[in-house]
Amino acid sequence: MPVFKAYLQIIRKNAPLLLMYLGIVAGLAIMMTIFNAQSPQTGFSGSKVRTAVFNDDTAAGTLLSAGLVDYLGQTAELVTLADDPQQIRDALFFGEVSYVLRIPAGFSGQLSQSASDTVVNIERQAAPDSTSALYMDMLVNKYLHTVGLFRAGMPEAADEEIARLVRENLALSIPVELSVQNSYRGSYENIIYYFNYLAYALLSILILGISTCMITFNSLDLKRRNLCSPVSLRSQNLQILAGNLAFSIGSWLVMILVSLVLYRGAMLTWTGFWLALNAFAFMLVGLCLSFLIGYALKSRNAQAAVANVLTLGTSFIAGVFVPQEFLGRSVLAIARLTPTYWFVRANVAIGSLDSFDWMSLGDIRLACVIQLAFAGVFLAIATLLVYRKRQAAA
Amino acid sequence: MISHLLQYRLKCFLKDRQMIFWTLAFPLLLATLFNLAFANLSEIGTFTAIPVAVVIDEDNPQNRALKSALETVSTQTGGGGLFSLFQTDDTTARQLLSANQVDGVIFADSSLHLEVQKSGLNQTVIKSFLDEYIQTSQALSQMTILSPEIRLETLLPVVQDRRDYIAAVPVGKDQLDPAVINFYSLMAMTALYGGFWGLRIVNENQANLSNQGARVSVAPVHKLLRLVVDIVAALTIQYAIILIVLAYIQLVLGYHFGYQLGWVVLAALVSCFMGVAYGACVGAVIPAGEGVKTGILILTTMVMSFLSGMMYHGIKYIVTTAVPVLAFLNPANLVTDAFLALYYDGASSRYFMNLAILFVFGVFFSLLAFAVLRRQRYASL
Repeated sequence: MPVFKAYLQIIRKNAPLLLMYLGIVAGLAIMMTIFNAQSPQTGFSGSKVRTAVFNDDTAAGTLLSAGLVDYLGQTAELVTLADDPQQIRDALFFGEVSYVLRIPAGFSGQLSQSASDTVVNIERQAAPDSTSALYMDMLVNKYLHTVGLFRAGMPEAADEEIARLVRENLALSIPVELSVQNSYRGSYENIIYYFNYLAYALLSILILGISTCMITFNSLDLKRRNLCSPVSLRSQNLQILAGNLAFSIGSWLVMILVSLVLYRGAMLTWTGFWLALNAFAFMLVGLCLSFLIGYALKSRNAQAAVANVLTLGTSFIAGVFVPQEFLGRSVLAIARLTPTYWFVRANVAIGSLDSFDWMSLGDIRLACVIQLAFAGVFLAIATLLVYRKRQAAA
Repeated sequence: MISHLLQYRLKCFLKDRQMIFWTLAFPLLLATLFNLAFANLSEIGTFTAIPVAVVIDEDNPQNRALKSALETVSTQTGGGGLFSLFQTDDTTARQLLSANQVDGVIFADSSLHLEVQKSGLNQTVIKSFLDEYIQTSQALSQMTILSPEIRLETLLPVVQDRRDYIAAVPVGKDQLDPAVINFYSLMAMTALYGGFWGLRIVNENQANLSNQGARVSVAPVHKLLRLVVDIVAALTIQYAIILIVLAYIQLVLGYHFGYQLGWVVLAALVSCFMGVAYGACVGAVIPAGEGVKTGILILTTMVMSFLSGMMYHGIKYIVTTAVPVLAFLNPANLVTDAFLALYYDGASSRYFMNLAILFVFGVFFSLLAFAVLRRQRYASL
């Protein structure tokens, strides 16, 4: 099979570039896993807002300010920051902290006097109208209201007494029930990230690999030479097809193997099976699309441009880099016209599924069928091109 | 002579469609995609009333107080309330919850509890509100025990007084949008992609790298003059490109570069100079074919842009706080930071420092390239 061998040789020559894409997707997936390091949830755990507290009220007898800081230490995630306006602003801007609180000097004292209106306000900096700021405001006010309430109820009590009572009171909480059906969804989140990034990497690899081979075999001189060789055109085409299939399935297999190495047991479930199957459908789309590009383009320079525009473009609008739930409505409407959208959608749906019966798989089957339809359309256009080219010149 | 050289060099550059794609069309494309993908991101943390289902047994007198408390916070004035309530029965509430129509279900019969599907901030807010409700009632009953002489009526005004102890201090002059980082970093990438021109100049002037280089080497034009003209041509085109990208980001996509246009344009110029010099340096110093050099240029540009926050803006902060040296040695980060400094508070010392280091980088790259290129003689070609 000389043509098939030549095909593999072309792929081998381009291997470093192709492996780079594999590296990118694996690297991104590993990074997401590190960022998202979360243990499977077994019960409700409250969100903790990253908060920096600057307590200027540190003189003797300032138990109430200290109590507030203590309370925030339990209910928020305290972050230490240098007390420098520029650094505070940077930290807020980049999301290192979401909430910065400054307790003014003498705050405790004014609070102890009575619930008078002369109390200086606590200063806070946060993104305006954010939920986290609203929640933290709620917590701070709650602490101070509770102090006010106990002080009104027991005017003679010392600060120590009030601080203790408030601490005990605020430790009360209501029971929260986490519905079971979705409780271990989080453990699949990282795998879903991997498979979504796979849309970018697999498509890049397929377009670059397959279209490079197609452009090479279709270059006029080489084609003329091959046409007068003793290998029949039919056999040549079959061998190229075999090469395309082998390369695509091989790329898909490598991707699945990497996911097995990264996520081990979690891949050996029905979730893993369906993710792999969905990726297979997407691989077929990539194969047909790459075949089409390989026929439509003549130069390798244009190929790099087209590959980048297609892979980056679809990945950005279809929810690979930014989850679909965060994309605008109009963007998603356009994204529906790309196979990547349906691939990502199916991945997310698979990740949230617990039972894999015929009924609950309905959405996923639909998404797979739509992907196959895309593959069919690409193949049809490519076939049309092939026939027209053959008629034009050989 | 100079105008002749310049004219033809510009023509050569502008007719190279592949180069124009990578230096101009590609940044514009990325900017468009960023805009599509990140447009909604800044609204994610923005508060909207939390949808909550309430299943309440109103025969219980205690629950009436809870209900009125819930209704009070849900109909607050000024931009809507805390919750948007759905008062329903048991089964409907659970259906709403599993369909993600509500973030939590409050069950109030003989006891009070909350049911949620995940541990998120909205769920935590609901819990915190309910906690506060039982904490207050506990505090009241505790006080009647601790100090029996106190009358509940005197405390109720204290409970109802929702005094706000907090004064919000604005973070900056304008509302800051973190998404600008991605676009500033994209400007850095555009500037560094100007290196393609620098790379090409070196290639086409070096007699051992291209036929064209061999031909121009025997032409009776001083080598330095040729090089300077080429660099001027490259800078002109790249500067036009970066201004187009800048105009596109600011005017079409609507991401601000601050109000001091003069300083913005200056930062763009220095960035271009650095970028073209970087490409020339890569071209001169690395002993390999054009393909490898291009690959190295793209790869290093991507790594530097990534570290300056092009794909995820938090990276810039992580690098700056964890490895400050890397932040100062990364030209892409300097470009990003220069624009960011302007956006923050105009032409400040931080802006000038970034620009100064960028300029030094540009001079350094140029000198390095020149040191390799000068005085090369060939016995035969």
